Amino acid sequence: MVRVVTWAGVSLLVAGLSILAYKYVERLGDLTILVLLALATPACYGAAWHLRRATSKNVILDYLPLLGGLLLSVAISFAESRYHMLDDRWRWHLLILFALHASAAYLLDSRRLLSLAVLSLLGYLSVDPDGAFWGEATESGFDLLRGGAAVLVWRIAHEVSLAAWPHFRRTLETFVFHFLLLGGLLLTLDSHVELIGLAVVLCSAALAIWWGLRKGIGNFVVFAVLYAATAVEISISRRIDGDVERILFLIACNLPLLILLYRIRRKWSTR
Amino acid sequence: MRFLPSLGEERLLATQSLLRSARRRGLLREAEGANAQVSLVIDWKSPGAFVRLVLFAVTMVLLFLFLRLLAEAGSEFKGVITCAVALIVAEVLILKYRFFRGGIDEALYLGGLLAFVISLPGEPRIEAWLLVAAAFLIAGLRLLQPLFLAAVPLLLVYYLSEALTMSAAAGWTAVAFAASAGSLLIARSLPPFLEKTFSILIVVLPLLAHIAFQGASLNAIQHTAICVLIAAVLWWSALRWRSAAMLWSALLMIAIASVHLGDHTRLAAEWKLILAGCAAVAISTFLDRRLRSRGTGITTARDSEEPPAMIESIVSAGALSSPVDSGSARGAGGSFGGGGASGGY
Repeated sequence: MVRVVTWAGVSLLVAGLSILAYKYVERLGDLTILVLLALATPACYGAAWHLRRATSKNVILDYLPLLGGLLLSVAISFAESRYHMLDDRWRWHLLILFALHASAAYLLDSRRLLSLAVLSLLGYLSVDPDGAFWGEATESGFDLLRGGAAVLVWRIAHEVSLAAWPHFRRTLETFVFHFLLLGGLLLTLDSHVELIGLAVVLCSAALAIWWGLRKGIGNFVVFAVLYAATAVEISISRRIDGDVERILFLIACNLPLLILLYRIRRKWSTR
Repeated sequence: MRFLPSLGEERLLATQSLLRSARRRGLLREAEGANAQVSLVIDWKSPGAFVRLVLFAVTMVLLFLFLRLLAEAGSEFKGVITCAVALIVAEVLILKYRFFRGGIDEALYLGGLLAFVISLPGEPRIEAWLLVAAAFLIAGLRLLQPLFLAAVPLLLVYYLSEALTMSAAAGWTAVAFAASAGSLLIARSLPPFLEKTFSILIVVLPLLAHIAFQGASLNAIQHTAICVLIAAVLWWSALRWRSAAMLWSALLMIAIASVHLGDHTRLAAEWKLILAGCAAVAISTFLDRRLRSRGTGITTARDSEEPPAMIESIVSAGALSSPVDSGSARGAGGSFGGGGASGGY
């Protein structure tokens, strides 16, 4: 509860400061605002680094890295909007942000910054050459697949050379599986790329189930089964004519699904 | 035949849930967790929140499909048939397979009763909300389901506000319900399902009261004053009794009261955001310090600071509340103990 309130406070503060920066730009000048924002980020990171081994922490200290990361994002977007340094290639800013957030996450051991880094990476991969974010379901599906593949590579690299942060593994795995499964599911909605989507969902679900069983993470198994069942049901019910037949098919699919989910639940409860 | 878990069994299930949470957060080693889990085993089956939600949703989809199938077949009694099938299957799952708030039984009970209500012939009327409330009440009482039970007063307040257009009365009714729930929560030791029901009501009813008062003929200052008053009472009560539900409710009402107070000021939006952010950080820092000590009620002390105490309390709480299986106890005709006992056993 205290964490939720702190998170809300940090978000409101950053939102207010970013509006303030744009409003006072004429009065204070670009450089002053940039310097202020640029000083705030290392101040937050520095305080978090200095106090990382403190025995009795205040909850706000846990959110200093996030505050620093968000202020850094504001600083970079402000600089780009004023100076157009990368112009048409502005999406590269998201890649720079990803690199900075990821480095800070490992340095400060912060999962919140890690999530921010993953979202920056997804943002970079989702911006098309015209500079537009998120298009139709199919486009978004491919974006999510690219994001999932990139985070999967990151997860493998983490295992090879960054194993000193074991609690980052689960966060990265959660992003990988959700991006891949959701991306594949979105593709199954489009009849032109339906088979690709179905194949991706089934392969990713198999991977998630195998990994969940191997590592004892029941939630991975449950949501992989759900995504796979939904994709198969969408794909097959599209080919069935008649409402009654479609309903009968869905009942015939969902009843075993319910039993399967219940059995998975029982397997985990007896572990 | 047991229709429901006993109070002890219900407490044991609550302890199991705490233990699952402790294992998930790595506060228990694998072997410790498994041993503690074995010591708490009972024959009622109640899964964790995530799986329960999934099972509930899939069962609801199945029930809806069944109802649609009957509608496509042109059955006049689709609601009655769906309701009967759902309730029979739910009772079999509860009585024979010992389901207790397992997601499936909850969806079958509630979905079956709602299918009956929505399939009633005639034009939809606002009074149907009372039938919906009755469905929630029946399902809630049969399954000891806090969410279903908490929905009943909410639906009644909604009915008062929408059907009878008595917004102020609905608002004060919500406040009265919340006050009663709060006093019952702090006054006595309640069974877990009632404790959860009252906790949910304390969080939701003040919000509902706020919505109802918006429809009433109050001016902006009166409305803001009521919000601030409710927030202040909840804040004081939450800190006095260290109740998580009251604190959630207080924080929500403080947020609403702040928005109303902000409407009366001439500050620019960015300054309001910055002030609200600073206030939220100050509140969280205050709560973090104030609730750091352990004792009755919620605490902000980190589990890593005292893991053994938490593990001990989980395991010992489970052991202390182990239910006596009345079904396995057999009278052998002895008369041991009690005034005038023969001593033969």
